[in-house]
Amino acid sequence: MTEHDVEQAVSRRYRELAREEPPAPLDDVIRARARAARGPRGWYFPAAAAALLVLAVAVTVQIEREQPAPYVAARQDPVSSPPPVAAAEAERKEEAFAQAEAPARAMRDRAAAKAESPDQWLERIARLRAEGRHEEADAALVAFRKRHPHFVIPPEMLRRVEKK
Amino acid sequence: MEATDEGLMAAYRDGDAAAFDVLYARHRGPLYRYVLRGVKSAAIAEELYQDIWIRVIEARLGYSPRAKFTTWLYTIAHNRLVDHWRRKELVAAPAEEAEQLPAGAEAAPDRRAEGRQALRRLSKAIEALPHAQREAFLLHEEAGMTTPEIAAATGSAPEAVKSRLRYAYAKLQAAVWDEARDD
Repeated sequence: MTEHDVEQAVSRRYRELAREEPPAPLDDVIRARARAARGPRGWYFPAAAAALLVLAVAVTVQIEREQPAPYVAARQDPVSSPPPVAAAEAERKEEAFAQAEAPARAMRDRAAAKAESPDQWLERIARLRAEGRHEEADAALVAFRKRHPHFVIPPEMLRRVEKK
Repeated sequence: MEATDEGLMAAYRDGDAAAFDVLYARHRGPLYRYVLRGVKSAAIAEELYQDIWIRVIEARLGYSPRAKFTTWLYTIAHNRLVDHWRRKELVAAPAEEAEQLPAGAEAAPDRRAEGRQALRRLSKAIEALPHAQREAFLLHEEAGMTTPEIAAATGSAPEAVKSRLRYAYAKLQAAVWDEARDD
């Protein structure tokens, strides 16, 4: 019996027997979800996402415009130290700059993560895995699969991102 | 001429609900059986099956018919099952108890008992397959997928899929042969 014959025989038997189908109420639920999704959500969610993105960019730009001018440390004179009042002022400015910069930087990081392509994302997971940061890699892989459920991970990349 | 799966999905993406109904009717049985045999519990299978379709619905706007629809659909299904097994901390194979063999065989009355017995035996043989072999077999039988398509959907090497299919059919053939001899 050739491999082809074996496959045919098993296939015939399987087709004869495997006839389970999803229950009709479940079919109804899924079809209803498909019809509902096609409605206003079809344009509302992408439009809302685009509006949020525009808002995030606007806020980032605004924060960057409003932040104090970057503090340039006073040139240290080996002979005469700056007077205590000037040092305190410099410190205050530095702190204000750091506070203004923090939310802007966090926002930019989030924007960068959102802009990451699936390939870049996978590459980052592979790096985490290579560095032995398995918990972070596992979490990132789960997040990746949630975000890109239909993305086909090439076999070579899969070997790099999945836990051995 | 019959519309292709890819054409139907694209039509649904563009707002044609009837296209989804046709697509759903084509794939509901095979996808359900693929999930059911992957988890072996009807209740869990129904939950996962619904979740897979919801993911399809939610991903519709990003759908682009670059790959076969079947490969896309079963990649989503495979990933959902992997998530399920990971949550259950099942590394190799799902361990849910088989609840029962689902009804639905439409054999002639005089052959019904024999058919149910055969279903029981073949189901057990499929259940006994290692997870990767079972999945390859089901994707081939239920979804009609080729070796490269299965490799793409499951993120495996084509050579590995070919080997899994060969082993799976050989083991099931032995089960079918034993069944015939015993009968």
